[in-house]
Amino acid sequence: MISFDPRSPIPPYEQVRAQLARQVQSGELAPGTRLPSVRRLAGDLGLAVNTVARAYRELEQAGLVATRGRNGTVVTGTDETRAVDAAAAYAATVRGLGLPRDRALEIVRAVLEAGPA
Amino acid sequence: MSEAAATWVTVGIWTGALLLAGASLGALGGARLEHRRAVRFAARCGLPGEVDAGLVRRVARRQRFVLAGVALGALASIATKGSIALIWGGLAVGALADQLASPAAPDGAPRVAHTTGTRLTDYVPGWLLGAVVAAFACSPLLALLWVLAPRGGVDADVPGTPGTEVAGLVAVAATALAGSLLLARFLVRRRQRVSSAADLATDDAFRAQAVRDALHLTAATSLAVAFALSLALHDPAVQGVARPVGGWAPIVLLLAAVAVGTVHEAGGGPRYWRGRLPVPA
Repeated sequence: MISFDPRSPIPPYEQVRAQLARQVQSGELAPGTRLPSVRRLAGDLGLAVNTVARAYRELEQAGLVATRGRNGTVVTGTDETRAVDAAAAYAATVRGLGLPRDRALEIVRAVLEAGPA
Repeated sequence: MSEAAATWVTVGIWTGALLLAGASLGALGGARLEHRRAVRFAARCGLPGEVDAGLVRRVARRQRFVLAGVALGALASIATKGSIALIWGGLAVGALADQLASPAAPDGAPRVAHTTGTRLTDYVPGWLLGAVVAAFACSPLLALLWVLAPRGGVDADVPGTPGTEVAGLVAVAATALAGSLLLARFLVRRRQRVSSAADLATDDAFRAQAVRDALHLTAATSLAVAFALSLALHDPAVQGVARPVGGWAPIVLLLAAVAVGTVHEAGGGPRYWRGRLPVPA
């Protein structure tokens, strides 16, 4: 749930952005969750469409949500959730290759210690 | 009894039935009845928190709108000598009117909204939508059976139901389905102008109920059309398996509708939206 208080000194777009960002970061809004359309959320909260669009744009710039055409705006997750997704994909690959668990961990350690590519 | 007298008797019976229903639903006043009805509505729909005066008023108003819609539908059915499915049309119109007249948060008040995009399947289970579409599908299937049924026997030359009438019946069922789904979609997509989590939950509960009312229209129309098509399948010239299928189809459909309604209620269908649209208690 998201709320908007017109009497708050915090600008409306920031109220929307901050609440959505907090819910994405806490995992309350899971990756893949579809947010309401800009028009719908603006109508529900009694805000201008541009205000909600600005909040969504800033969330997109922060990498927390992504706009996917007809699917609307969906939660992409935090950096940590993206790392977990990447780790899961790596685990599936090494399992498929039949690599022993210790060797798979050694590879990760070696890559991390080698520093940025 | 003359036709006019029969019509007045029907109107009298309907008026009596609606007054009785209105009294038991708390739609005709009576603080205790209204409160009891609101408590039942809250329990049935899984509304969190205490039943306050606002909810009692809202439930009573919904009952009045729905009762008025049903009365209009019954009147239309009597006046046009049409199907009793019009009563469910009236129910859907009453539910829509209640939604359109629902109180909105005043300007300048805080607002709350869902953080996820809501869709029809957040308010009613997907299987219920499937059951409604399946009820509609019986109409074109029975019509197809009527088209394919072999004709013959001693009554082969007796004129049967005209093809245009059968096509018209299928068109009526299709219109009811389209109308139900469009109305349900409209109800789900309407703005939610509420100022607290409790109001948001209440609005969701009424929305879910209105969507179910809209879907009843398809179920009732499909049943009425199935009965009419079963008569067409009993045309004197119709032979073979089509005749018994035509005889049993409306009975099976009626039993299926009762079973779907029972399973939906017993399985907590009216509370389904709570799991899909969580709102802090």
